[in-house]
Amino acid sequence: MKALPPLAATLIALALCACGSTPPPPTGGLERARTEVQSATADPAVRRYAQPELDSAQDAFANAEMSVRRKLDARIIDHWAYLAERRAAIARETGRQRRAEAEIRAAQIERAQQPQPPPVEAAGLPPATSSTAERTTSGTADRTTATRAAPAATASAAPALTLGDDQFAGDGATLKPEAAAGIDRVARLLQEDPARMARIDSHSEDMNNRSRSIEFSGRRAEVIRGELVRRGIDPRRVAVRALGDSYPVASNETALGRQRNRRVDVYVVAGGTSVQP
Amino acid sequence: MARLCWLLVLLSAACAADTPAAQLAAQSAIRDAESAGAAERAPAELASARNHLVRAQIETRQRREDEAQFLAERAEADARLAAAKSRAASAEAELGNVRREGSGAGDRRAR
Repeated sequence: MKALPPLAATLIALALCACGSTPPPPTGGLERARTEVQSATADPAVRRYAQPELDSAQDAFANAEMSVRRKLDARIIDHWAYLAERRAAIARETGRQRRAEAEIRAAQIERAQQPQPPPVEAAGLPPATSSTAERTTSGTADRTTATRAAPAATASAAPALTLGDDQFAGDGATLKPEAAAGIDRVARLLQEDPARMARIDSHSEDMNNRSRSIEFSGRRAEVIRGELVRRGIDPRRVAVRALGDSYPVASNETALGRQRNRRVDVYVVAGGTSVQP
Repeated sequence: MARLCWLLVLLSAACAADTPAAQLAAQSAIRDAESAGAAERAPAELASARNHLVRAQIETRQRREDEAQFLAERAEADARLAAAKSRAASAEAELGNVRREGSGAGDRRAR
């Protein structure tokens, strides 16, 4: 008599197991995805710095849940759950990355309060030649570690467009297709007001060779200028400065820092400002 | 040996024949992860991406497009995670450098 209830319970449990296993529930992946997406949603760095990535994780999770409701194939549910979990992790890592980068910038701005070398004068620079654009810095001791602010854009504000190293393909001087939108935007700015001028400041990482770094940054700058000209902009409205490695924004000691130093800033300045000799 | 050669031929044929867009996307995401240093910083995710991509290529050879699509999308997600993880680790390492440099900057200027 006493042994019966446990036996019955076991039988019921077995029956439940059998029922559960007939249509394989893909809930394992779904639950993992739910946990990941929830923890990414709760992460302040994600909400601040990786909202688009988080959105795409939440979309994938919504698809997974919809597939469950519509009783779609377990493979499809599983697939969306996998993507949701991965994308949530991507959002988390992207948040970490951008938060660290923001802190790096903050530290650099703080350091930029220190005395700066005078900015290169935009006026009086030949647009295409690069060597004259390059300042010769005294002493190389600070070259490896110091990070300096980029030369002031003739006192104008932020660049209209910054092309990071990731916008250039393989050989280093070919633009990736995804850079086109930004260049289109700059071209539009120039077309809107014929008095506007563009200045392209191109930078490289420390290449242990000044002329090579100037040549490298000059090649990239000319690529951008060519793109603007191709969009119908008069080449005389576009000035180029190949600044080499003189204005790092990050340490040259790390791969990431070197990559961040390879960048092109495009400034659009009002007509009155002299950007052209 | 002959079998291995055959497998290589199969795989390279799979790459050469018109590759589905999802696999191209996965390939480019894997390259991006590699350039972000995923081999050191996110080896498990990078390996998973490569594994999914190879399986996608095999499914394509067997004309199972749906399965190939799933696998390629997984490969891309893995690779993007590998890249994000690597970049996060690099950025945090660099932040450490910047903070150390910041505290040592006074000494260098004195020199």
